[in-house]
Amino acid sequence: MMTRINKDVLKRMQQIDFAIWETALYLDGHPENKQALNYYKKLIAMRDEMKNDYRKEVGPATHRDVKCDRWTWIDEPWPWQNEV
Amino acid sequence: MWIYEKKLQYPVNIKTPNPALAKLIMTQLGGPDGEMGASTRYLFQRYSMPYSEVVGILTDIGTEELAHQEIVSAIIHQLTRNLTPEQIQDGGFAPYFVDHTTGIYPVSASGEPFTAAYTQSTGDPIADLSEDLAAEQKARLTYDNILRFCDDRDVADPIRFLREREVVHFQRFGDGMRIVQDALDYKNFYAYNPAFDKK
Repeated sequence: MMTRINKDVLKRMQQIDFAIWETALYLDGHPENKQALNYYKKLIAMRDEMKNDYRKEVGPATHRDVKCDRWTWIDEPWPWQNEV
Repeated sequence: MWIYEKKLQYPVNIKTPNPALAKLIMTQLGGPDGEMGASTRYLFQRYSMPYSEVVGILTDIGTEELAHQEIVSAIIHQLTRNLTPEQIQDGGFAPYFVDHTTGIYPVSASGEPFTAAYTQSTGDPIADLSEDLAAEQKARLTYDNILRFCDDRDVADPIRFLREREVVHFQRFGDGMRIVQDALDYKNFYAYNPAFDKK
């Protein structure tokens, strides 16, 4: 089943997730840096806040996010299927 | 994208080192029917698969195979801890040891490094799924052969789990094959590639 995804919500999540990722890489080598750790926690809070919105507007990010009464995990588009 | 989860899918707790057995089990990492080939094969086959159910199966099994690489690596790591030079010699582990010490490097049981030639991605759903069904059976029989040399319960237990997963994956790829075949025109069964040729 092809579903319409909200590209703005997707892009916002990609931005937050990339910031989380980048901060985690830094923290791996600087685990004592409080400033980086606080920044990481702030990003995670932002992510938590938009998680439900993401699920509704884009779909499940992992199959653990499927909450409705239909297996939406396999709904299209897959990430590599762009519109042409 | 992928997120790493910091746990094994199935526990590995080996107390007794056994470099000879480690050398055999290594083939399920870097050998012709090992977990590296499996995850590579399924995750690359996804892009030409026209049926979303089967993309889901390839994604989820390909991801599980990544976790199996980690289980096989944990088994090899625990089988090669605290080795003496005598144990390395007697276990036939010395040729691996001089190149890799006790680092994990994907080779077959006979020492051939992993090669992508162990896998295929044909861009044809029936050919790809036939390969995947065969791959699961070949991995299952390799685990059966490893179990013939496993007298340590700590090792046999996770190996049996991995063997069982090959059986389940074979069944799930069977579901995928049924989905692809149901979508084909019965009059034109093997005549065209539904991922490339347009009806």
